[in-house]
Amino acid sequence: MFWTVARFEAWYQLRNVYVLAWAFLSFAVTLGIFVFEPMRIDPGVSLTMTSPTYLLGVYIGIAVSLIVPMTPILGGAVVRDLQLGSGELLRATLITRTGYVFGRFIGAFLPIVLIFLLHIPLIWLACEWPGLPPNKFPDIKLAALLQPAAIAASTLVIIACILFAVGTLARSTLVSYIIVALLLGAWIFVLSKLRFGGYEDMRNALDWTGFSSVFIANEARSIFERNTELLAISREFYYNRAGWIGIGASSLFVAWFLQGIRGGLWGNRQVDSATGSIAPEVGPLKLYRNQIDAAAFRTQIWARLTLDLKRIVVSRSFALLMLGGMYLCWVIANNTGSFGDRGIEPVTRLLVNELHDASVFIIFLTSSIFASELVWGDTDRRIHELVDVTPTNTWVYVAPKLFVICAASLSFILVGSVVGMIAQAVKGYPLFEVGKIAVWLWVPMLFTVFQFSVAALLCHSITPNKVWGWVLYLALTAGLSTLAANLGFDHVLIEYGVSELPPLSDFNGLAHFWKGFAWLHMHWTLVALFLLLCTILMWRRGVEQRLKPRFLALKGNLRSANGLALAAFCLASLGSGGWIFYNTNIVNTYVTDTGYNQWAAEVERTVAPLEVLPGPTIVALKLTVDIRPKKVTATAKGTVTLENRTTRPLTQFIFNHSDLTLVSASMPGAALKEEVKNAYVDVWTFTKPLQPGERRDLSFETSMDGHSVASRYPPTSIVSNGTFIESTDLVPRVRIDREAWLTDPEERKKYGLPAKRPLPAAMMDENFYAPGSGWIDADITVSTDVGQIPVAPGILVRETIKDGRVTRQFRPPVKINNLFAIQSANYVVKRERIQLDNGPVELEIYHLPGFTRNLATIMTAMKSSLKTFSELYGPYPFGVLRIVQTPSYGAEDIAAQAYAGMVPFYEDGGWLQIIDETAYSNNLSETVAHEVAHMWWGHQIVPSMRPGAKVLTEGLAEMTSWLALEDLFPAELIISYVNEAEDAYENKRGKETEGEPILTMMEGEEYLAYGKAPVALYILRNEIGPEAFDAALRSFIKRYAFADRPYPNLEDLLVALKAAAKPEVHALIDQFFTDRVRWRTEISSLDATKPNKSGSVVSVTAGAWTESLDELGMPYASAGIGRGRIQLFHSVPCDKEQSKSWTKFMTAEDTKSGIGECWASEEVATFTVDFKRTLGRFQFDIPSAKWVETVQIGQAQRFRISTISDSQSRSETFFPPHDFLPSQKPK
Amino acid sequence: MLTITDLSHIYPNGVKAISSLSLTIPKGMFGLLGPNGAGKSTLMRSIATLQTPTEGAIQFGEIDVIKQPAQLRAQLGYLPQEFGVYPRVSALQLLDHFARLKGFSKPVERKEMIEGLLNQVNLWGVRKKAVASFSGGMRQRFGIAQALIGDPKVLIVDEPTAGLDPEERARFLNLLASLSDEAVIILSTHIVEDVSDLCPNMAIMAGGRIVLEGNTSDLIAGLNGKVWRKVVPRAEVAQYQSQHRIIATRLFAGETVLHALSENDPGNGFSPLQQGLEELYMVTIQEDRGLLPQTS
Repeated sequence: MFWTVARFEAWYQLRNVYVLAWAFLSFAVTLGIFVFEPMRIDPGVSLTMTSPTYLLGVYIGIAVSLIVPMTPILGGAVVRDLQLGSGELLRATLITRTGYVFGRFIGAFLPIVLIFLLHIPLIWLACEWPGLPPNKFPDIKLAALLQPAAIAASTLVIIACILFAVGTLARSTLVSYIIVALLLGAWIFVLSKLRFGGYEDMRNALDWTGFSSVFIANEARSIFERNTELLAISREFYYNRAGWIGIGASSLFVAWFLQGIRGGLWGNRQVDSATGSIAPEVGPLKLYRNQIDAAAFRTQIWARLTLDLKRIVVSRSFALLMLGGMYLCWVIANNTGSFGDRGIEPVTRLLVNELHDASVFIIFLTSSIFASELVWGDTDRRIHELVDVTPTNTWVYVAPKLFVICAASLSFILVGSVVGMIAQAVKGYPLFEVGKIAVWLWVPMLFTVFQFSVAALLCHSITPNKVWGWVLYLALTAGLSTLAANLGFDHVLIEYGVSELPPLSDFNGLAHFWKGFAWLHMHWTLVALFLLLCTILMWRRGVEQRLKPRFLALKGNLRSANGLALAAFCLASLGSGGWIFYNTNIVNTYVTDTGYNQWAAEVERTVAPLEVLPGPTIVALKLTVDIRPKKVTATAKGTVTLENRTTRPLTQFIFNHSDLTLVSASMPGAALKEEVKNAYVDVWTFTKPLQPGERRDLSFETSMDGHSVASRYPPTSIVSNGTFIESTDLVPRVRIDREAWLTDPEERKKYGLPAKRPLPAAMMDENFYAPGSGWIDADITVSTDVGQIPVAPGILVRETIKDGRVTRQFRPPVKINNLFAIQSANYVVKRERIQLDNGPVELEIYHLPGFTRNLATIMTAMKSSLKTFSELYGPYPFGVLRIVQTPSYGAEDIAAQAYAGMVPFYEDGGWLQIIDETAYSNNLSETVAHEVAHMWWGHQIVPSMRPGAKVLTEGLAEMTSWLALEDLFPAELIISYVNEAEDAYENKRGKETEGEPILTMMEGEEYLAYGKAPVALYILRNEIGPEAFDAALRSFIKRYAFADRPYPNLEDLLVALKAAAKPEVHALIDQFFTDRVRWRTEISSLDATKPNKSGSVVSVTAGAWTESLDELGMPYASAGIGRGRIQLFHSVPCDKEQSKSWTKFMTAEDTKSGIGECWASEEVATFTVDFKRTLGRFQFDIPSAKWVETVQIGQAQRFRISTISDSQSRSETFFPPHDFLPSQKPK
Repeated sequence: MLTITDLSHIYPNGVKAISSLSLTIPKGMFGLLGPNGAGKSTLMRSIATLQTPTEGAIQFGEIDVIKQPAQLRAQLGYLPQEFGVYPRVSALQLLDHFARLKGFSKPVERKEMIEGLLNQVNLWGVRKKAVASFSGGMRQRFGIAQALIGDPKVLIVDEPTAGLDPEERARFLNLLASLSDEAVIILSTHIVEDVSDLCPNMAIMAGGRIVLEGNTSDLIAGLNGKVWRKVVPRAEVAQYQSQHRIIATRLFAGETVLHALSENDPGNGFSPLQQGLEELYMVTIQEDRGLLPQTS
């Protein structure tokens, strides 16, 4: 019977046009992705499209997209019998409940499986398609085709079971779709939000596709491995599959069970108790005449409102969405307290930003779902004819529906906010700042909800069915702006509604940004009101489906009150739109994404030839900046001193004002020769050539205005409290810079630019931070309103207060880079002083009142860093070190920056961080140490623009910051930072699509600058010897500190290191900097006979070798590491001292989870072996009666490379781990 | 008086449901007969403002129904052939909802009227039951009740007695009869006895047109002495059909009875039959279809 049911169901579904259409679409898209170049989703330069990694993505995509047809098919497989009434007929046959439920499931699922399986030969065919580029499509292997398909198929099975159960439980396709939306939303959330912060386990568990486990297991693999090897499958993947398949199977059982209870097909039937009673005596009927007046209107409105409210609020979809929304808000609110992998205080500003993202998603979902339900509800229930003939004004239909949709969306936001505040409280922030949430979130969301609800109502009221309503809504709210953006017409007046929040900061709250957003809200609310009137005038009554009669009705009603209101709102929205357009496009220049790219390409073409033009060098700057916080403006006046440092007279120079608003510029003996149109770059001529060594002053005046009308992403430099201006926004430059140039290879290709434009030789030796500038003598005066403190680099030499203005003049005691920041806010200052060998240094922390949580930590880290670096690398030259709290506008992922003697520290990364007192270290101290290290590496040593420059700045700053922390934290635990950097490098290099450059050719690759370079330098420090290494760096600084051209480069550093290193270390230096070498070690087995009096025999299969890789990660050579050691251990419980030492660093969570149990490894024996290029089998006689449980292999005293425990093999790649590396400081 | 002038309606799929239809409906009961697909429902939806006809005009007193649908709705009662209800809503609640929608703002008035209507349609005993759980007949009675809310001046009822048992049917017809003095009541039905019993005026529609219209009694009287009957063996039916204008073939007590149309005694054993509306309907429809052969 089971097969009979299944066969029929499969036959039935295979005739379903919807299934066939989706199959056809899926086949066409899949084929197109491979063979049709414009549709191709290119995985990057190096990853092939026949690799298992890429194919897994394709299969997962297919499986997830198949959810769309699966939802109605599986959800309706059983329910349709209940709805159509055919259930009674089926129950009268010999079909059993089990046969029926499982037969229906298998039968409905078979067509989906068939469609999915047909993709496999289709992909094979696509990969063999003639004419495809062979580098992208090398021969496909059967296993590579099948393994990812099997992974994705498991997802298909799981989701099918769940959908079947949901459909059976909910008996509503709409609810099934909501469940699907929630599942997909949760999946996207899991993939995007749980990537960091120690949520990997949760991510592995919650990802119902299993993709995360596979992703993590393969994350550190090279492109070569990804292209050639099958996907690595971890235990976590199997656990994940087992768990989710269990959930799926349970769902099926639930579906089976539900069919046996009341309401199910096999349950007891509900008896219709509504029988007629004997008619009472009937007298003459008394009928009243109705009166359509204001009271009637109110009655009608109330009647519809209560009905629509009940319809939504008591619906299963509302309950599901509410639960889903609450869950979503809970998760994101919990996620609020993190900055990367750091725990930070979940302040309301952060919560609001997170809630806002969720709210926009919920608004879109609820408005779309409930509008369709309310607009089509009467028609679906076939009661629309009775309702529509009643003498009701159309407002009676529309107004309550609009209210209910808005109320539903707002209730989600309100409940989500409450959930968020509870989560805040649970995380230790129990302030319940309702006022802030109301002003920052609820008020703007009120307008957003209205705008989107009206759009949803309109779309469903003018389309012939729900599906078209959804399509139109999607097109209006997302499609239109996307299309416009693709066509190069993106504009705030095209993107419907306002779904963004103004930038928020603890400095200012909404600051002045709310004004621009108010304009946007006003405009789109007026548009929404116009659309609302259109909806009313074109409302569908009765059975009318045609648009024409409704347009005629609208036209005919133009003279009614509604028509007049329509005209009024039309004019008002045109007026507000016109005002916005006037400001964005006429008063200012509106730059679309496409327009910007076109402009950038044009600028590059125009100004690239000017890069070779020799020019003068800026050697001094005198700057006066007038900040007006209340007016949100700033003006700057100043002079830059230009010097001819070439050997020939200069007749012209570049005047670059591309990042600033130039008011005026003048220079004696020079004049504007040519304006490079649209590039904001001019060519000036010296009327009298500037002779070698000659200096002249260029005066300039610039301005900044922080106002913006109707920008979704307003400028944030100047605010009423927390102004942060970079020097490039105020001071003109004298070289071409490449800031605006396109970097994406595809974009560059699109606009006819070469893939890369090599830096001309003339620019190679320029200052890395400020091309065209040397080390400058700076004199900076900043004024601001009284109550605020202006901050700039240098020693404070003068402070005056006059006419409500405070003015401070700063003069650095040494030359600085022509790259600095000026800040102003209502700061309080914590001051201390540290006495270093070469004199005292003033320590100042500028922070907002109340942000005192981490002052001690920051101050301690400042002192420790200054002490360490001045001892190791020479004196601190700036006299004062300031750390300045800065709003996080646009810098949400950045912790801090470093300028000469001054470190702007963004509010999220530093001031909110929760320092766990029980933890052995904290990232905040590491950040402080890194930025202080830049006072040597970046602000004493500045590299030239040659490749590898960032090794001298970020690489050295990162590595030396670890040394500074050794004073603060246990030395052996500093290694965790090294491992983090190494992990970051390993993870990122696997995603490198352009090929991994060697360090000496590195340009902007941050994973090399912050990952590989510091780890390499750290290892070299130990290889060369800490004292010799640090002495080499000290000499390096001594030679190049504040030295003008030629600036040092990486080659110079390597020369210095090699000079300090023994010859046998030179090869290692080269391997790190001029080669790509990966250490591969593996222990695949450990076998030991049972120990007895005579000991035991232990066999170990292990290997240790190196692989040289090309830029795509492909090994081209390998070699055994030669003599190495194998150490055998057994485990013993820790003694008291060990336990005490160990638990000192354990958190409560560690102890709870058992990590806190302390076991020590006791060495049993060590053997020296010769490691070849491949795994070798080694056998040892152990004269000890101890179980050998752990093996370590390594090379001499240098590396512990790999371990094995409980026969679980573990391998390490690329860098030798550093756990055993001595970490010493010179005495 | 309701006046329909040159009314046509073509659906988006090209089907011409009504074709240049003109009709005048006076106060009182007006019967509308016609086969399936004749355009009756389209006509009634057009009158009930539920769809805009492609062409033509509908006038009720001073009201241009197409241009001023809201004014007609204030005086309209409508019972469609099929309708659904809201789930989990009782008869009392749903009737109250419709009363509110029809503009009854005074609770006392509304309550009295709703309870009266529930009594009239014999749903008082189940007034608190969900309408969704009603049987077909009970639901139909509910539909009648809601159509009567507001003492409509135009009442359009489509197949109102379908599914009613004889007792309820009689109750409903009496109810309609009591309303007929002041209102235009359009009764569309396939049960010709309803029209003959209630409607002084009537029309027969076919193919989107009015093919017969007039006073019901006069129209029936027009067939006076022209309808004949004869009991014949089943095997001879075809022979009789070729020789006479047979308008109906019936079975009565197991025997085949032929009804024939003839100006004079057709002979051959036919006897006169007291004609009724059913015979008129059959003659009209068959003549419209051209199915009625001329006698030689």
